[in-house]
Amino acid sequence: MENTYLSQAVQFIFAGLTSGSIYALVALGFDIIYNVTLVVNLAQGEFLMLGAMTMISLHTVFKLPLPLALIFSTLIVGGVGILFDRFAIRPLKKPSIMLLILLTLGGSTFLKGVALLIWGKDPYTAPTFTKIKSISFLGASFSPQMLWVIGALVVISVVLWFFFERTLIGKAMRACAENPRAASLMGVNVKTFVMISYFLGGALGALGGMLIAPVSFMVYDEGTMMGLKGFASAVLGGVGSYPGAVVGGLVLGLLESLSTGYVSSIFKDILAFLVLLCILVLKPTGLMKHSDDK
Amino acid sequence: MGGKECWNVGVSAIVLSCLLLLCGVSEVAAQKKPVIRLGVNLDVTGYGAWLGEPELRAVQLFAEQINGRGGIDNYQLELVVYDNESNPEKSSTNAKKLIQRDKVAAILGTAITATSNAAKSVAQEEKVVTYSLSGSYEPSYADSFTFATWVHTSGMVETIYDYFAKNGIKRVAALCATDSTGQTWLDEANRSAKKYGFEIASERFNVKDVDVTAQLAKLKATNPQALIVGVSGAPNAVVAKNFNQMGFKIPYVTGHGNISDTFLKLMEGNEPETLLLPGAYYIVWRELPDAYPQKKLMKEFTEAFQKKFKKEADIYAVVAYDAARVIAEGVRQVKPEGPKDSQKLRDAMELMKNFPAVYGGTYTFSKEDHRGIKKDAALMIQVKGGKFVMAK
Repeated sequence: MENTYLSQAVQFIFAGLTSGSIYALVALGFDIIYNVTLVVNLAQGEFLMLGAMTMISLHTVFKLPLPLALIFSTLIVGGVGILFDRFAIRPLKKPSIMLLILLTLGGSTFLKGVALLIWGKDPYTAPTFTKIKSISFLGASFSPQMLWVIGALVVISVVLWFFFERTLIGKAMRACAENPRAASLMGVNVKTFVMISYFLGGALGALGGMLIAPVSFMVYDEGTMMGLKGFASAVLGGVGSYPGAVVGGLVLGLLESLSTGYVSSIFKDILAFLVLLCILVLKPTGLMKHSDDK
Repeated sequence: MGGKECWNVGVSAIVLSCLLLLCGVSEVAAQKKPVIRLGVNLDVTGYGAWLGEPELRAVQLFAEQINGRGGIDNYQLELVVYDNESNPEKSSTNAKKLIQRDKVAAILGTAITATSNAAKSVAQEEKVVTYSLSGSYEPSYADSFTFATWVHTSGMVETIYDYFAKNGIKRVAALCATDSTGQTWLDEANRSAKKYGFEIASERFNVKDVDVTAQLAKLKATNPQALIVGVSGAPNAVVAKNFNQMGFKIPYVTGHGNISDTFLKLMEGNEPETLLLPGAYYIVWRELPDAYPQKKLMKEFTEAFQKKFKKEADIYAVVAYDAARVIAEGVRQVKPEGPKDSQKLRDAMELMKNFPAVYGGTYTFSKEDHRGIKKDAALMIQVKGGKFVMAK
């Protein structure tokens, strides 16, 4: 085999970018909700699982074409996000951050239970978005689905940036996080924006799930691990920073694949999280967040 | 103790004794023929239910068949069934209840490793034959009263290696999960590779990984002739997808724990060119030549099961049916009256030789071997057109 070393390296990088992009999408969902409510939504991974499961059901049971299934599933899980806010978060009389986080943990278990009832314990998988089996590049080969994943991450990042920096709604949402009281005095309906943030969080999670379903599989409890990795990425990049979420996710993914490739597959998770710890000790605010951001 | 409480206790005592009396009466009425009691401790509900349910059905079918034929030498076989809800604690209580209260001669069950291990210590303490149906259960070997079913993973790995040797495969790659199943596969694959003189390269992956191309790229560099994937269930989808996408053309071999319809559905559209698994002869019984000694047994069992339950029997039902047959054969020889005779039953079972198995192959037990079934009960199976068929 010619140039094994190069093709291996390329393969490791692609592998890292694929899982990294998914982590980044989950991390973005975390950040949106965090930025408006200061709550770390521990049910974010379940949104991902729900998105994938809903899409697969719409596609295989209701025979919807894949793009339609994708759109509906995004809306449905966004809707679940709204319901989650309306019936779990908002009724709280005296919300404290700790209490809210615990609630999201409860929500995560609840959603898992519902998914178990609907879909059972069987794993499901989805067809790839494009029919091509694989793409070769410099002796490494990867799934075309990976281009979808990375492409989606780029598009979503740009759209989010535009939304939060350039539109009035986006700016108002940021205001809610900065100071909810001042924002409401300025005529911003904080409750509505909290709801929108849950919708976006749910929709983003669902997108991540739908993009990953064709390269892997989905089971009712698959979301938890993804949520954890996404959370780690968000922390690594700096909680609340959108560029941080993207960088954090990609760095975590690459760390995992490179330690698999060049050290040992047994130490993959250990090494990845060890580096994460080191970075956080050296830079507690995360990679992309400056301490004067707040 | 207050007066009211006393009264309560009194009433419940009376109710209880009435109930006991009733039980006694009905027992006397049914006791036209002498009865031998067999305990069944299965995971009928809870997460082990997908195993416990077909297993219970098979045991019930067996009891019905044998009693319909007049019993075991005129003794009726009576089943006492308890559900352990896939809960280890319940499993151990059930075992105690079966032995101390119901006075069973032997216990069949349980379906999963956790509940089987919980019942193991009770079996050893009370010295009552306990026949586990769990795939990855290890019976204890010193003065053991526990028996196990299924060909051990080491036998399955050797079945794979025999196939490799026959097809000129000498360089093997193994990709094993980091869970206990994966660890067993890795250990057995490495151990047997030495015996067969194979070169083996191995990598690990987490069952939650969404991408294993990094591991596969490393394995690819060793230029393997076949890949063994040591994992059960869904993670096979990830590995198979990455495997295809990286353009591997070598055989993809995975564990016997994957022989299920769920697995076939999962792999649909993602099957590697050659997808192989080791498994019991029963899986492909329809393809077996009529000369295969157990084919008749397999056919009779499948048809009886289909007739009674309107459902295709699976390999789990087969394992339970076999276990019941083995115990019944022991019972026929020693006619145990209860737990006190279980030692005699065990000794008889240990002497059993070449007892034909519906699973495939035969059972030959000894003091050291309480599994009784070896790799001659297994063969290589291939997935073709969404079905399990005999590998060429």
